[in-house]
Amino acid sequence: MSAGHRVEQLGFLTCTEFDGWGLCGGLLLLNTLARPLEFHCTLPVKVSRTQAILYGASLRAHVCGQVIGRALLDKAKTVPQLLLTDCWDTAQLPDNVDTPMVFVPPTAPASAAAEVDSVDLPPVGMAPAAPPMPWDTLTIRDQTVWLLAPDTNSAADSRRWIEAALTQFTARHDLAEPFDRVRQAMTEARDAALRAA
Amino acid sequence: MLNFFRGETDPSRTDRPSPGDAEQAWEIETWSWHDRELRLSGDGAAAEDERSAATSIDAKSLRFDAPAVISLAGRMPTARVFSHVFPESPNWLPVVARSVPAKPRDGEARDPAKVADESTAPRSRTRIKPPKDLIKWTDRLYYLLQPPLESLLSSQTLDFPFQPFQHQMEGVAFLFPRAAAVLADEMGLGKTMQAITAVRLLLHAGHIKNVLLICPKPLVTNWQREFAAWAPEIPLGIVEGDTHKRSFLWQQQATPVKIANYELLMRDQGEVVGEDKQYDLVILDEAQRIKNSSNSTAKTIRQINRQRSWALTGTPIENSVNDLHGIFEFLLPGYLPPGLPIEVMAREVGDYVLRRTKDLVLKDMPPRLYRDALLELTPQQWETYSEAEEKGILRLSDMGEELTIQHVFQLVLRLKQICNFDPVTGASSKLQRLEADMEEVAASGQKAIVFSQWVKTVDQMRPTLERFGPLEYHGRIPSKQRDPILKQFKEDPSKHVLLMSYGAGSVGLNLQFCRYVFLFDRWWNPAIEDQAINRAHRIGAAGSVTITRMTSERTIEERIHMILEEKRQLFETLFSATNGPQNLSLTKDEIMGLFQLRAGGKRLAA
Repeated sequence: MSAGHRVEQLGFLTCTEFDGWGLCGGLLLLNTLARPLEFHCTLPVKVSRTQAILYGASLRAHVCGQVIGRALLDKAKTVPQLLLTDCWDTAQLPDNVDTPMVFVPPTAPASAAAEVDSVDLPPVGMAPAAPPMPWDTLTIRDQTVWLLAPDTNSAADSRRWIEAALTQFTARHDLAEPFDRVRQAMTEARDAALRAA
Repeated sequence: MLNFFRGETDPSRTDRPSPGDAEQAWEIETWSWHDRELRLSGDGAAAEDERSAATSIDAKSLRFDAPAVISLAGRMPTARVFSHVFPESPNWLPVVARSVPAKPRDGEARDPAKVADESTAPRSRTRIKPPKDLIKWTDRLYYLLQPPLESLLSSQTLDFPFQPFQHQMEGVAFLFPRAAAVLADEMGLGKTMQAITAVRLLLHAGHIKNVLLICPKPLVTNWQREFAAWAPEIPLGIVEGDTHKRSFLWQQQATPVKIANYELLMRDQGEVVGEDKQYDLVILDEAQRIKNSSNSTAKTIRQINRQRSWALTGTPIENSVNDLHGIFEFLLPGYLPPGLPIEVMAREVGDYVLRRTKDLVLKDMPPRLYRDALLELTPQQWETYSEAEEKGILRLSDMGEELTIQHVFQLVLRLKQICNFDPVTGASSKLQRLEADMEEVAASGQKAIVFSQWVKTVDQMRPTLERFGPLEYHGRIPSKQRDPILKQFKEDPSKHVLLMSYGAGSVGLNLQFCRYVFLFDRWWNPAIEDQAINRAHRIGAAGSVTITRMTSERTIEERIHMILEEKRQLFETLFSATNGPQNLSLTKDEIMGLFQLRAGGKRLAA
């Protein structure tokens, strides 16, 4: 994708853990006006004790990124041109996902909206204090995000258009806000399932 | 490397010792592998006899027994995904480029640094929440996943004349997803703006295409003004004029918003009601008009085919909590039966009613300062009053079985009128006080509104107040003259006082430039008084608003005042779900009791 390319769809991907339910993921595709295009969420993925032992420290990254992230992206009818996540584990997508990804370090509290709606669902994974290689950083309107250019040969080019896309989006919208929407929708899904049960 | 054999010694693998080696039993080598020892040994032979060394190889098996295998499923289950694709909402109006940024409200200073940094400042997030009666999850998702209202408005480049208050954004977010809603904010909090903005968003999103707004006749021009300010791009159709013109206007499909008044609607039933006539949204302003569900206006309005029904009212319970039943018959017929316990009613209406008070949401709003002016009647007034009351009570007592509430009511009105002006001499302690207060108001360059129940009282006040440039706004003033009068009152510095009747001036008018309100006489219902007061005490009020409530001491007015004050707090009771009296106005028993107390010689505490 060239620097002059205009980004039309952004994907906001996150995972969260409901007590007793397991890990759930959600993907919200927005246009540049922050209007929803598609929403996908998973049923809870429960991890067994055996799986937890075998995968060890890599378990959450595997479930959130390889299993949930992969499944959500497979279902998307529109391929997002840029993926954003505020969940570090979800950032560990399979290698064959070539959509550029940006990690938006969550701030605490998650957001005003989350507070209002009592959505106490912090991102699943704790991010490292600094971006490991090959993650790079971008600062957009006082918010630092970490980005991974998929193709190192065109890393500089990717960096430019990602920066342009995020600058455009954040001119009117909050970069962290769509994650609240995803989490609220997942919470609604859980509540609906609980009521039905 | 040694080979290890299994079974008997293989002759071909016989090793021979070198010549010269001593004939002795020898041990070639000892190997150890894990916990097993392997030893290659011979029993010794002289090299010279060239006998083959008697060697033997002990082969030890190193093979493990086959372990039992327990297989563990380490593969992750695949994640099952629920998907929802949003239909693109077509915009019915082209997006226009933002030209003028929203202005600050009057009195709000714009910090240049703040303006420059607006894009990076934290934005408020007002989320649209799905109503509880929206059951289907995909329907709920539609609203849950919409961007915050601020983003939505910003994305569609919808300009505002002023930056809306946060409570107004929340009101818009409340109305937007609801098919049935009562916006019951206290007067002055901007119900009109909230309704207009919600309509604007729904129209732009393509969710609605034709809206019918019904309001009292005097408020039609007010709605026009507000639409021009808050949604200038939306074409309006004001239904007015003769029958032919109205018929033409009713049939216009090109105007997405039609505004009609209640009276006219009754005349034009045939144009509005019918199977082939359908509205996406019907809004009732001052919806307390339909509190009595059996009146003809309420019946007609309920027959209008519509998808969404919104009611706007600052007084959802004007007289009785059952008023809400009438409003809900319009919103959700049969949903709220009359006579429900107040706690049950509060619970049932909770998700449909949004009510905020200024005290709650406008912490910075200037205060309302109440002054209760308890005034002695002039001697002439007192003489007339005493005589009228004594004779009146005697007459009522003599009526026996024929006595009705109307008879008592007539006496109350008569006595109240005497409290305003002595019918013989024209003396009035209230007018004396008003004149004195007006001197102060005019001297400070301020303006005042004076409310009375009677137009006749307004006529009687006017000569004394002439030097303050009085203007009148009441039922005798033709509709077309009313707006120019309000404009003159606002703009002409010589006009210090507006004389209004409760009926004409209690709703929908914006007179927030007034700092003084005088209630020359008291209405039967504190809710109506509040409406009157809030003409001045509303958003944009320049400062504190002083309300002078004039009450004649030791008269029927004082007794009514005592009862009404006890009930004033009921207004919020419904929404706090606590028990309270069921009627805000005076009940039949209470009106009768006014004189029973007096007749029995008991005096109410002052």
